[in-house]
Amino acid sequence: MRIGARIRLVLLGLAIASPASAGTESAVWSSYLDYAYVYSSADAAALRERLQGYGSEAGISLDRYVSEYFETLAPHESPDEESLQRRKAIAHLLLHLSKGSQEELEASVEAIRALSGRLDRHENAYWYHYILATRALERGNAGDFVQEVLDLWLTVVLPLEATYQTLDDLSLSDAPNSGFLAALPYVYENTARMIVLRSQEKGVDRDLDPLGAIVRLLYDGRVGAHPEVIPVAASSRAYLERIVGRMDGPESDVGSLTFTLALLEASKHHETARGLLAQDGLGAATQRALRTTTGAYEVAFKRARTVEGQCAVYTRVLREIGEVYVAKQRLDTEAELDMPFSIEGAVGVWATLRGEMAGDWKKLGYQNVTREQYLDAMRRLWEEIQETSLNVADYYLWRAAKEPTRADEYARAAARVYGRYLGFFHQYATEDGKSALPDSAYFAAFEASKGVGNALLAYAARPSSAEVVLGTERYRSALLLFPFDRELWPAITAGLGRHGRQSEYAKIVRPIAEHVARSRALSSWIDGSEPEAKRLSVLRTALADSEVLLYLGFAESERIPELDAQLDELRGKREALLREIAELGSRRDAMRAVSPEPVPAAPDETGTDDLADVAQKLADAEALLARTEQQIAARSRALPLWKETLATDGLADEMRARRDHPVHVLLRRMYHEGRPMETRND
Amino acid sequence: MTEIALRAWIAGFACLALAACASSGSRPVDFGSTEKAAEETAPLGGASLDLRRANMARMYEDLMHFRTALDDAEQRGDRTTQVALQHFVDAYIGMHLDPMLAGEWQSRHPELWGVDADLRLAKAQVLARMRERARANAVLEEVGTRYAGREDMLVHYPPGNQSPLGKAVQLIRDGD
Repeated sequence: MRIGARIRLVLLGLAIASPASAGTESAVWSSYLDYAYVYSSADAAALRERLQGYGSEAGISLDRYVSEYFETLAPHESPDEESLQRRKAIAHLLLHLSKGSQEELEASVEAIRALSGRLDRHENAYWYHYILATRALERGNAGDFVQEVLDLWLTVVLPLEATYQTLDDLSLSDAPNSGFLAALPYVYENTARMIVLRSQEKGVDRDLDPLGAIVRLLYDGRVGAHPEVIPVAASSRAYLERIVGRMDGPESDVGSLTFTLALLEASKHHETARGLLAQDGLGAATQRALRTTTGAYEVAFKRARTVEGQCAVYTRVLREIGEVYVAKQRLDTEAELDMPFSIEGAVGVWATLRGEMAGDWKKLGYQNVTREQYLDAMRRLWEEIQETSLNVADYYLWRAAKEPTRADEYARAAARVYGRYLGFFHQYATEDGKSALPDSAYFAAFEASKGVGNALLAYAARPSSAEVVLGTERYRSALLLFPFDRELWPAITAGLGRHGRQSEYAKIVRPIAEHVARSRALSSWIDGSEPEAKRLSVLRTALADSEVLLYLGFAESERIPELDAQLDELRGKREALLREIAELGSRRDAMRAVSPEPVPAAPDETGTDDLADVAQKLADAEALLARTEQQIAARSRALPLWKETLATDGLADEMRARRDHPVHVLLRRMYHEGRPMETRND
Repeated sequence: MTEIALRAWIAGFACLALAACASSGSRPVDFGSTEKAAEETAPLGGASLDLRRANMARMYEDLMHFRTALDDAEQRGDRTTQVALQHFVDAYIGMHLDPMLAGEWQSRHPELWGVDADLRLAKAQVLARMRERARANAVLEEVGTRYAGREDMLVHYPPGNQSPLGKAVQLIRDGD
């Protein structure tokens, strides 16, 4: 028989035997107070409801029962002073937990302290430490709280554990005379909830680390291990699992419970803020939630003693910063949120992690994880740095477009943010450190490079000459990183055009095209039919043709019909030339037959054709035909190739949307396969 | 601080004093064989044996968690946590573990000697992390005495692996 059923049976008998009235002991309340460990961890609202129900059953509310029985008559009539005192302490505690009354808590402490000489009884010891721990939480005193929980473990849990398993094996753990032993699963659950939930509700967010050991013990075959008593779903098992997983994983601060709880709290606030953002936009409530989130991340950051912990906080808080900028742009609002975190700070943390990559990286806090997990933590932080940089810069470009009078200011701000990421990228995207970069870092560098070009050449109203040069150069760098963005090729010619340097286009882009054509990584990717191989093959073929390169830079897709018409015109011209040549040839042959004299050097003055004149016209027509044939051949080859590239549009958008897009891997390989040195250091 | 916890800590300090005596060469002859109630030292069977084994296995897991927690605090440079954990673990050992390990017979019982040896080595590892090197060495010495001639038996050390008892003792002694 389980505890719930036991309580009901006992209560039924007691209710029949002794109806309650004010001033006398209520058997109903005595029973419910004896089993308060079953329900004392409920939240305040649920506890109030329960106590009201029990009050109805007992015929007297707990408040009245406390004042009319425990505080008046009981001291004079109860033969069992120990039980009376314990129940009184529990009653006051329940009133405190259900109503938040500090007076009730102090009364509870005073009552339970009367039992300090009788703590050899486990039930007394449990409530003694539980009540004092509750008060320590109310006072925000982490040291006392930790001490009470540790004492509870030593003096209650361990002695009960020594025999509980055997009785449980024999189905005796719930026998009527098993006493407080049966409470062990609840003692586990209540202790767990007090450590991981109530401490955070009460704002005790420091110095909890000695309880990390207790949390590990609770998770190891204790909480959730008695589903016949407390169903696993109703227990805190899942939350403990998450906490222990975090403590042991790379998002930790070398197993610090304080840090783990702080980061989890911040994540909860973050989720709430996200929900509000999606539902209500950047309204007052959302801004409050975002500030709370930032504050919670700040607490977690302060609790971090190692770089591992700082990395974990930055990885999450950068996401929040990026989300705010995206929301400001999407919702067209100027909400100002003070963020004590910056991309520069995250870059600094990443650099510290990178600094020990070839050394003692474990000393940074990654003592309990594998090297791969350490590298993965770096890659995740990098991804957040890149995403936040791109989101912030994109926001500035949006502002530049929105406020033309301040376009230069915002465009330059965007260029600076992009430039900072590029500097970060070029410093660390090296052969020996590439395993710390995510695959998507290379495409992000392309986006940043292109972004600088866009900011200075498309968004800035009055860029300086140096900025035009820089913007054009960044376009070129972008194409080196990702040569498959068809839109970028005409952007280079446009940039050069603003400086009157269109003639340099071919010279600038040819090395990029050659890099693509020679790339072993791309060849093996296409030959191996890897994802997007067909699309990439079309682009590679196109880039290998110098005339297609010119189409890519100078032609516009809207002009395709015109280009097709021009080709048809050339073909018509060729036909006409062929006819003209045939006619001129016939005329020349006829004239030669009539006049065998040598051909004079120039036509006569009458203007009529003589043999020399016809011969010259024939030579001219043949030269023109040869040139026309050349044009037709070139255009017939290059125009279809260029048109095919139009069908490859969209790859950049797909890669931007998916940071796990397989082509990111290809970009990484192409970057590191003997790429021209100038982009590494520019 | 509760009276019981206070008593436990006093017991812990007493153990410390004993360990100090042991390391200085004046170890009492009855060290490690404190007089116990008959039912705690006598060989068990059936359900009692199962209970003893379960409790020993549970305590071994507990000690492994303490070891992790102490390591983590050391890595973080968190002296406050180290001190609090040292007091707690000391009380744990004095109140619950040492009474469990006091009996001689369990080191000779074929169904218990494996977990008994594991538990003693775990205790030594935890003591070493508490900077109680002398007490850790005393535990290892006692393991050597109890398991003389059985140094080839496999024990769970390092955690997650197995190695011969003699080698494990040496590794822990050398600084684990």
